[in-house]
Amino acid sequence: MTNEGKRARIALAGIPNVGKSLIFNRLTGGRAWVGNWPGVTVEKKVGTLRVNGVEVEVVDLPGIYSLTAYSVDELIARNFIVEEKPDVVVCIVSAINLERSLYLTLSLLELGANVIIDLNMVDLAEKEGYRINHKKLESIIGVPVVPTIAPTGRGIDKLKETIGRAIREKKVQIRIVDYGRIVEEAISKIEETVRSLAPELTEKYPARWIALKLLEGDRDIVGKVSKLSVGKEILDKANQLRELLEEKIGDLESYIVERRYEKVSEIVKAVVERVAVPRVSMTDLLDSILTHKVVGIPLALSAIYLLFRFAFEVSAPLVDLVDVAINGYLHDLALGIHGLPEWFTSLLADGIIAGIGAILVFLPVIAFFFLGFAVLEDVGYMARVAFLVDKVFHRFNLPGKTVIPLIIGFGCNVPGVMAARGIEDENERKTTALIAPLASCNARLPVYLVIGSAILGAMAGFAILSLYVLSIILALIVGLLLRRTLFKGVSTGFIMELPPYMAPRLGNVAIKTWERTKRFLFKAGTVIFLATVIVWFLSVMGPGGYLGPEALENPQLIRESWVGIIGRSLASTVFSLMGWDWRAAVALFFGFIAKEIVVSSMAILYGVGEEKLMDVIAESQAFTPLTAYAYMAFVLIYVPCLATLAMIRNELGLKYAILALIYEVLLAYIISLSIIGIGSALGFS
Amino acid sequence: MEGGKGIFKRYIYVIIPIGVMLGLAYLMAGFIAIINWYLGTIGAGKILYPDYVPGDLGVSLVMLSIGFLMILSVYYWFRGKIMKSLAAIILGLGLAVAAMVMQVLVIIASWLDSIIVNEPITYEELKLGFLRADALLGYIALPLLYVPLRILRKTSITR
Repeated sequence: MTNEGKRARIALAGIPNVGKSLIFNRLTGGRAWVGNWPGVTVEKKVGTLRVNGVEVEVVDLPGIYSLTAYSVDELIARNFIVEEKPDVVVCIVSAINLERSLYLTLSLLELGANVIIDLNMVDLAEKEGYRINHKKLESIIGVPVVPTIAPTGRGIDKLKETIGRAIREKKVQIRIVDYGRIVEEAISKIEETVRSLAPELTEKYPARWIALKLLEGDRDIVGKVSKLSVGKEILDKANQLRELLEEKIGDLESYIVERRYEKVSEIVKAVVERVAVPRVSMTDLLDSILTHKVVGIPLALSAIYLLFRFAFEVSAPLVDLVDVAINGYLHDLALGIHGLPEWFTSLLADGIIAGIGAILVFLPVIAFFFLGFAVLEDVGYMARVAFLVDKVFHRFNLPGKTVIPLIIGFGCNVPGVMAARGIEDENERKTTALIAPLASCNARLPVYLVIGSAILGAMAGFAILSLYVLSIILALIVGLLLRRTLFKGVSTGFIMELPPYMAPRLGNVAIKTWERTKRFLFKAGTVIFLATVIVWFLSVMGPGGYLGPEALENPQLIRESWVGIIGRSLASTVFSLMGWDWRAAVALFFGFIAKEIVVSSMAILYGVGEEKLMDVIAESQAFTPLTAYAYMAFVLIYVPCLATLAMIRNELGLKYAILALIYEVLLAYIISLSIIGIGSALGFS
Repeated sequence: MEGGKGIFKRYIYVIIPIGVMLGLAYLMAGFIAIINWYLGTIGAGKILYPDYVPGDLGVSLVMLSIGFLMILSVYYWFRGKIMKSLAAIILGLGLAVAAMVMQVLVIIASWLDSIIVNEPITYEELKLGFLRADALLGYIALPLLYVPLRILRKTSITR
C-alpha cells in the first residue's frame, strides 16, 4: 500500500521492441486486463504483481521514444504519469540500444517520475562485445538500475524487490540535464513566474518541466496554460524569453533536444565497457538479406504465404470439427426437437445455432493465424517486413507498418483490422484499419473463380490477378485520401527499432495468441451472432408472413422473402445500370455475412448444386464479360463481411464501422459503374 | 574472417554444387507452378507434372524465392562476400525446410480432416502430398542446413 492507503500502482515505460511486453508478462504472470486508454483507440494493458505479499497494479504504457506532444501515445504516457501519479515508473532500457532508451529515461526523470531502470537484454550486449556498468549508471543517474534478461527471467526477482523498495522510498531527479547557463536562467525565471502566478499547476507538474515545455513550445502545455486566468501573462513571459534565447542559440526546441542527447552520450561513454572485439551477430548476418530492398520483398511474401497455409490449411480439421459439431449435429438436433413451433425450431437451428457456428467456425483459423503471427513477431521478423516497404508507403502518407495489416488482410480481413493495433500513431492506425478490408481476402477468391471461369474463360487468370492489383491500388489511394481529409497529419518517420532475432518464447507466444483470439471471440462474436439472426429473419419472413425454413433452400420461396424483395428492388434500381439480375443482388446481400456464402447462395438461387453453378451461370446469360468483371470488382470492394465490420467497431468504434460500410459500398458502386462505363465506351461488352 | 580452412573447403565442396543444383530445381519447380496456376485459371483441364507441382501462385513464389537465394549464395561466394553467401544459404535452406514442414503439416491436417468429415482416406493422395516438389526438395534441404549453421558457429566473424 502507498502512503495514501491506496493500492500501489506502477507503470512500465520503454521504447518499442525493448522487451516491454515480456517484462510485463514476467511481472504479472501474463494475466492482464486489456482495454483502451480513455477517448482513444490505443491499447491499455493492466495486470497485477505481488511484492512482499502486497498486490501492486501494473500498467503497461504505450511504446514511446520521448514525451513530446506530437504523438497520441506520448501524450497518453505523460498524462498518465502526471495525472495518475504512479508510485513507480519502471523504464525498460535496452542494453543494445542505450542511446534511444536513455533519452526516454531522462524525459521521464524531468517529468518528476519515481523511476527505476530495468536494463534489459544485457546478454545480447555481451554477445555484441560490450558490457554496461550498471552500478556506474546507477550512480550517474541517481536511480536504481536492475539488469535483466527477460526471455530467461534473469533479474526479474531483483526487479520486483527493487520495485517494492521504490514504492516505499520515492526518489525524483528532475534536474538531470544541464541546458547551459543562459537557458537555465530562463528556466528559473519561468519557474518563478509559474510558481507565483499558477501554484495549482505546479501541484500537478514539476515547475522546471513546465518551464522547459513552454520554452519548447509544447502545444499541449501551452494550451493548458492559456486556459488559466493568468495564462496570458505566463505565456508572454515565456515567449519573450524564448525569442531572446533563439536570437542567441537558434531554434530552442532543437537546442533542448541536442542538450539531452549530449547528456545521453556522456552517460553512454561513461558506462559502456568494451569487453571483446565486436562480432557480426546473427541478426546482422540475416538482415543483410532479409532487409535487402529487392530480395527482402519476395522473402516477406513467402513467409506470409506460409503463415496463411498454416492458418487456413493446417487448421482445417478443427474448422470442420466445429462445422460438423455445430452446423451438423447441433443443428440437426435442434431441428429434431418435437413439440415446438416450427418458426422457433428454425430460429434455434438456422438462426441461433447457425450464428454461433458462424463465429466458432472462424475461431480455429483466427487462433492458428495469430499463433503463427505471434511466432513471426517474437522472432523479430514482422518489424523487418514493415521496414522493407516503408519508403513506398510514405509516398501515400502511410507508415511502412501498414503493409502488415494489408498482407494479413489478403488471408482474412478480421485479423488484418486487428493487426492495425501495432501502429503507434492513432490517425495512421485508424486509416490502416479502414483500408485493410480492401485487401482481397481468401473468401472472395471462390466468387472470382466461379464467375471468372464461367464468363471470362481464358481471360479469368488475368482478370483475377488484376483484381488483386486493384485492391492494393485502392487501399493506397483510399489511405492517402483519408490521411488528407479525416485523419490529417504528417506520416511519422520510420524510427521503429529493429529488434534482434530471437527464438520465439512459448509463454509469450501463447499469451499473445490467447489475448487476440479472445478479443475476436467475445467482441466480434456478439455482433456476428446478432447479424446472422437478423439475416435469418429477413430470409424466412416476407410481406405475407412466415415462409418457413424451406425458404433458405428454395429459390422460389426466397424470392418472396424480405431478402428476395430487397434483392429484386436493388436489381431494378441501383444495380439496373450494372445489368446484374436479382439473384446476383441477393447473393451480394448474403455476402454481407461472409463472402464464403456468395457462391453457395448463388447455387441456391439458381437452383443447382455448387459443382454445377459455373455451367449454369455460363449458360444463363446473367452476365456479360464486362458485367461479370464489374460484379467481381464489386465483390472485392463492398463491405468485406460482418466479422470485419464487427472488428472495426470493436477497434475504432461504431462511427468508424458505419463509415467503413458506407465508403466501401459507395466505392464498390463507383468502381463497378466505371468499369461498365469505360468498358462499354471502349467497345467491350 | 577467421576460421579453419577445412570448414570453408567443406563449404565449397558440399554447399556450392548442391546449392546450384537445388537452386535450379527450385526455380524450375517454381516456374512450372506458375504455368500450372495459369492453366488452372483458364480451365485448361491439364497441367504439367500434376502429381509433383501444384498450380499455386503462393507455392511458386516460395519455391522461386528459395531457388533465387541458393543461386544468390553462390554468386556472393564467387564475389568474395562470404558473410552474405552464408546468410543467403541459411535463409534459402531455412525457407525450404519451413515449406517442407508446412506441407507435411497440411498432409496430416487433410488426413485428420477426412476422418472428421467421414470421407474415405485416399492413401495415394497422401503419398503424393509427401512427394510434392516443395516437400521432396525440403527433405534434401534439411540435412544441408546443418552445414552452414555449423560453419557459422565454428568461425569467428569479426566486424
